[in-house]
Amino acid sequence: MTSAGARTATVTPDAGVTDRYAAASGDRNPIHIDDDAARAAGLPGRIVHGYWTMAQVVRVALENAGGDPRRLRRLEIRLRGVVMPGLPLTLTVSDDGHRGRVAVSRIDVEQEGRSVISGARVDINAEEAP
Amino acid sequence: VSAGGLPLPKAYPSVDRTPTRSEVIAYATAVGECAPVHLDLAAAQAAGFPDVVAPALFVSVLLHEPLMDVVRDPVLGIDLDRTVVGEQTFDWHAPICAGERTRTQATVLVVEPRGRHRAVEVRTTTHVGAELRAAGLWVGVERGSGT
Repeated sequence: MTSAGARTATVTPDAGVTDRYAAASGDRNPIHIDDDAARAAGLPGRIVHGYWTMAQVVRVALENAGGDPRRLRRLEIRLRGVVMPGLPLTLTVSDDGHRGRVAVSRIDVEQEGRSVISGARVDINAEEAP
Repeated sequence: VSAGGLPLPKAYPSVDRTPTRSEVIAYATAVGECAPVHLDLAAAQAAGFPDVVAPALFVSVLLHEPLMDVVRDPVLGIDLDRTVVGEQTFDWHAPICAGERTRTQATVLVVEPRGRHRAVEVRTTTHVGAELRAAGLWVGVERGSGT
């Protein structure tokens, strides 16, 4: 269910995203870059790094709030399911009220109708940093 | 909290790292950042930053080596191949820019069975000088090691 204030964004991790993220982050766990190793670990194939997906959650929430990286305060997230390269992710950002000067967003993420993140929380300062 | 007689919490030595401009730009590109403060020195400086701004989740890159030290600690006996990030909390106090010398420290708080798996909770802090820039709670899940 989405509230009246909800906005959605679609991000597609392309087939090369796990190689690029592995190079940029240093996380070369084979389940992200080697289909055979991923299948040996019981996965359908290589999976997208969890931190890549978290980066999408924060980026979309922050863009929705004006984009100033100084205003970002907090992320709380639990990964429920794996993200596969090559299939679009749908991120839904909902306004979840204010705690003082902080605007709270709720983010839900689905891939092909399957929930991969439910109820992530991103806190962003409502005012510009001085 | 102790699990199997482990003395917890257990603090690990901090790890220093100074991200380069090209590392920050490569990370920003890999996660699809388009904002010029992450990609362009002049834009970052015009916005009041000393150099390009690392995207928020770049802090996870700074955690990588400290978390590997935890996961490889023979006292804890964690199987790296079966361990994935299950939950993560970050509190950011200020962005980290290229060229800033960061110091990241990890402390294991909890190692305990949760259902069919085993959970490992690690608190992390990332400082630049005396200033806390980001604090985190990483919850790793070692699959199939519970009760």
